[in-house]
Amino acid sequence: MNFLAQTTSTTTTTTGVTFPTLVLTAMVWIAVVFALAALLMPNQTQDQLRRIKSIGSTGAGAALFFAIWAVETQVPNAAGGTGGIPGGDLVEQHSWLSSFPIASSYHLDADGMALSVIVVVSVVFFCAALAAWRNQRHVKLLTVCLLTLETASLGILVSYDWVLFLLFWTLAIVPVYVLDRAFGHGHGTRTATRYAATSLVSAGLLLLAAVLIAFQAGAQSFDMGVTPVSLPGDGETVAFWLITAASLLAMAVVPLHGALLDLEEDSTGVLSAIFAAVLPSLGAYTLVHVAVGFFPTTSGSFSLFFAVLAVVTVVWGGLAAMRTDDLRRLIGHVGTVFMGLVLLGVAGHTSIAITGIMFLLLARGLVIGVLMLLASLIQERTRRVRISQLGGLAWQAPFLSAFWLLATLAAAGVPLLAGFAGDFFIFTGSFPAHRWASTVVLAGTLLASGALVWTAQRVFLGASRDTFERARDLGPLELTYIGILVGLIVLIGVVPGHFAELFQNGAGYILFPGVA
Amino acid sequence: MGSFAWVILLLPVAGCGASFVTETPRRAAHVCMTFLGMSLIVALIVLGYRLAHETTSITPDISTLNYLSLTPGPSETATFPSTFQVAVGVRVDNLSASFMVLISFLFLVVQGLGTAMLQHDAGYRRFFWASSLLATLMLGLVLSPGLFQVWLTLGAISATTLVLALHYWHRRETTAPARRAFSVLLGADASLLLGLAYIIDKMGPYLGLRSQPAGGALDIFDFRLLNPAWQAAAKGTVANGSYKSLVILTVLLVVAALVHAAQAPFTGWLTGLREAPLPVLGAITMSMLAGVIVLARIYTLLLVTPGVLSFLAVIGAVGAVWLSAACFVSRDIYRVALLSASAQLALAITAMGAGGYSAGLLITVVSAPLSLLLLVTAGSLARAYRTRDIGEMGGAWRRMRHTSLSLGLWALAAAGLDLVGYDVVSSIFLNRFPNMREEVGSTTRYIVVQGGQMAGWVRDLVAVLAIAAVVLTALYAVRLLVTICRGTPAVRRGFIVEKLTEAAPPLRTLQRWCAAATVGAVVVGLPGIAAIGHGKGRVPALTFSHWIYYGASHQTLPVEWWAFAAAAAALVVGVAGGAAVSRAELTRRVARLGLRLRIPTLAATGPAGVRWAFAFGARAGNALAGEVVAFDHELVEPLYDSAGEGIEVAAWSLERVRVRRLGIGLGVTLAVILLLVGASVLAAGGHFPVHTT
Repeated sequence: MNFLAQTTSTTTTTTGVTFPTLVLTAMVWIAVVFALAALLMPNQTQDQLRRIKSIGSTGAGAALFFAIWAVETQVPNAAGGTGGIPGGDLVEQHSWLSSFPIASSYHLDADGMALSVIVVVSVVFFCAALAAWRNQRHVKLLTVCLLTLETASLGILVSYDWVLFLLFWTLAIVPVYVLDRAFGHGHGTRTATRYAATSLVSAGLLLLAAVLIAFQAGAQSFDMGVTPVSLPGDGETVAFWLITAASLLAMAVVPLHGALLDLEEDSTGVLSAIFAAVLPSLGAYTLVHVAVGFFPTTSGSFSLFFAVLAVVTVVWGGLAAMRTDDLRRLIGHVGTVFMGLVLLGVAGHTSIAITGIMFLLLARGLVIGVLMLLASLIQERTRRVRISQLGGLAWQAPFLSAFWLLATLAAAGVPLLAGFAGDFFIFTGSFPAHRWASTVVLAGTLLASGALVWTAQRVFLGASRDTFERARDLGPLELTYIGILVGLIVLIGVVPGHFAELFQNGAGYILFPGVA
Repeated sequence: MGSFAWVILLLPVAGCGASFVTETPRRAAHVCMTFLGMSLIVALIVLGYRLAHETTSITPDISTLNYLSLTPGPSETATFPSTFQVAVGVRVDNLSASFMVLISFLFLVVQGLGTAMLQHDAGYRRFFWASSLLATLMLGLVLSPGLFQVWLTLGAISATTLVLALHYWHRRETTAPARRAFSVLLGADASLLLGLAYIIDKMGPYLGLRSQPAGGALDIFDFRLLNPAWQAAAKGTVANGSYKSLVILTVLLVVAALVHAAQAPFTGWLTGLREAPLPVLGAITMSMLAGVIVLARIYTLLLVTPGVLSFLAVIGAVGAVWLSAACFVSRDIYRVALLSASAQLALAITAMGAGGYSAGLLITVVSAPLSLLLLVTAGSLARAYRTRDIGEMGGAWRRMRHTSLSLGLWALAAAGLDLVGYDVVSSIFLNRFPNMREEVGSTTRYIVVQGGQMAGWVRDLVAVLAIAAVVLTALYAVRLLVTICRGTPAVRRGFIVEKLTEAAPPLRTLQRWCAAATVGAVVVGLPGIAAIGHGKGRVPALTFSHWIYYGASHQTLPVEWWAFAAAAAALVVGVAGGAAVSRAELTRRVARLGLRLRIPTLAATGPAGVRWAFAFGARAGNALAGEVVAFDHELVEPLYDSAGEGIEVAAWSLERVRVRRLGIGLGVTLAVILLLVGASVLAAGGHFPVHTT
């Protein structure tokens, strides 16, 4: 209670009683609280397993509830210029490690960028928790790890203190490693180790950057709330590249895409959806919010690097998507193409392009989540993930096919579906700075779209195959969680303006912190 | 009136939504058609209102809603408009008022065709909701107040085209072409998106400084802002805008329009879809009007880039000849119908490129129901004869009198009585003759549209090509009519001539509707062409060219006897030639000749250069993709493997040296860390005496 009593700056007084703002704390920690509850539950009988699963779904649902609360309280404020920038209604700051030479505090906050990814993370985890109902293997482990990973992911997004940020960043590695070791098929151990190695390297780079900033900035603090950061000498450039390298590793852009793609390919069902939809988004968030947000001038001076990397990533990802025969790897490559678009937006270095990145991350998470979940359902029904071994599934699974096609269209950036607003803002925002790069990237995205449509043709259309005669369509549970994601894809596509000001404020804060 | 027009847009999409909750597919069809019919009625009311208020109808009624709005950063106003806002809405002007009636009507006929031809089809319900959605999007395109909505609707039209084209999703011969069609259309939409980005790049700050037009939300891509911006850029008064940039912009937008209109060399996506059911082909063919509508909307941009406008005329004329030739040598009646629709639009584009804005749109209005008439007739014939090969048809006049009359009407109209030939030729020669100019004070003002700025030899070339296309059109139209109507059908296994009967009543009704619409469209255009004399003698009454025009003043197409003579000669030559080559032996010879000349292949895939480029691109892309995957396998993955293995080796080494003491040590360390964390938390809460002094 003492903890709560210290909060004085942000209060809501609608009932006459002063309440501290604890939305972000609740959003971050509620999942791990449920994880602890699940950990203590027995898991011997089917009833007990079901109970654990309900705890998992409820925990993810509770986190989703607080996420929606956090976002929707900011949307009305966005028009007034206070929503979507740090220091508003959502801020929570309590002194924590103040006795050390460099102080650290429990500082949570969320800007437009964070809120865009928070929506994705919370929705995808909730849908994944629903999808995990069909799992019968290592139920407790899956539930606990999923909820812990959700806490870590949300924590990364709202941490405004380096210590917290790194704590959550490294916390995320543990459940990913454990889950892949437990559920990975084929090369589970190898891919888990690879990913853990990559993540540890990125965590190390971030730690170096944090130390450098904390010692050189002069504030003697690990607080991340003061931007832009000014460091003497080449400190800014070094810190910028440390954070950028860590982010690029997490985003899995070419040529650093190997570990995450293998992780997605080797994971099963629910996990691949989370890994593909959430983990790269955290990297993108770090790149834009931390690297660009802390050092807007430095990042602007390296915009050509990002443009070239965007071109390489998008063209590479598009070409690889055309040739790959593995359904999940194909989706992974499409996700890489999306990350290339993020890089183009960073290269554009305008508030329009950064706003586009937020829209794109929102769309990307939903679309990739749907595609991965559908891919796992296909695998579950046919015992195959090789595209060349599939065909004619629309006969047996029309809803599954229709949802795949819709997600494909959204990934292609078709207007009135979630992907288009991001494409529109990124291209219009980046074109003035990098005309040729924008043009090539646009062509590269066509490759990825073509690969997805071609895959839809090969997997779902054509004559019926006897082999898949007993494959069934989506059941009520599957329709529910896929429907939630698809519904959001359509909703965001039709009314993207709902988030526009929120994201724009966030973009303004990142690029023009003093002004915003 | 602008707000009222929202109803036209929302009714078909409401029908589309309602069709999902109906009990039976049949009911779904009825719901979709009812809503589309209501949309047509409202569109007619809007058109009637504007006709009744013709004197004040120059100003469009616009109603817009803010769709996306951003404010660029303080240092970005040198690059972007100060308010980066895009809107969706409706722009009711004479063009949209006319075309929304046309589109609602055409899609209603297409849905009627669906009820007649898709009964008991598994995709019955899907066809109706998808076609209703396509109708909505086409209406949205026509009513677009700005380029953003044009992009929005064109992209959605591409996606809906894919859904429709996948009607027979289980057949390989339809799925692969549907995918290809979607990819091509997606490329066109990407071109348009680049165009939007280019506008921001070149004219962003200029657009941001313009005063907000009255009526609705500000849209930086609003035509009311763009039209003066283009003219200002052409005059060099826009900071970044130059003639070169305008040309690049025009090319980007024109490419998108030409692809959507299935113009040469981008016709392949349309002809590839010919295995789809006829109602689907009807819907997709009608969606090709989108290309012409886009051209009409960006006409002011075309006017300030006369080079591109002339190029458009040449492209249109070459395409018209090419597609007409392909029609002439094709034996598949569906293919003829599709290519014919594309060829008619090519003539419309030629006229627009030559400066005949009103003439081009008039051709579009006339040719749309005409193309649908041919499709409906072709469907009736193919169903009756159980073949699509016109060489195996014959004797229709005796056994299918009504259908033959419809085909005859189409053939005569296409051969020249629809005056399309005259419209094109007169547009090309518009400002060549002195009686088309008038002196207003000290300046010379063209009384006709002034877009035609082709050099002399280009104009002559385009004229020759256009006349050739008109002649070829007459040839294949008459050939088709005579081949099908006279003689007897070819003897085939399983086909009993005696069982050949007239098309079902619903199809006959649709033929009548299309025929009536065609005649109506020709009649609407007729007084405009036959404006009696010039100057004082000009008929000031309502005419198409008096009704739809660009700029601030009415233009009237004059009577040009040269053009009449050329068109009439083309008609005569075409009819005579068509009748001559319609003999069965000659039909086969012509088809063989066409095959030898590879005209059908050309029409489907483009000239050798384009084919080679596509094939080369595909092979190169495939090879490159192979290298990319190989690189991943051979270099990237081993790198990660080695990193992973390094950690594994370290872990393994640690395990080797693991002793009981190490385990205890690790446990103690963990416990100490936990204690420290706990102490820190307590210290933060003031429960632990750790203070700095």
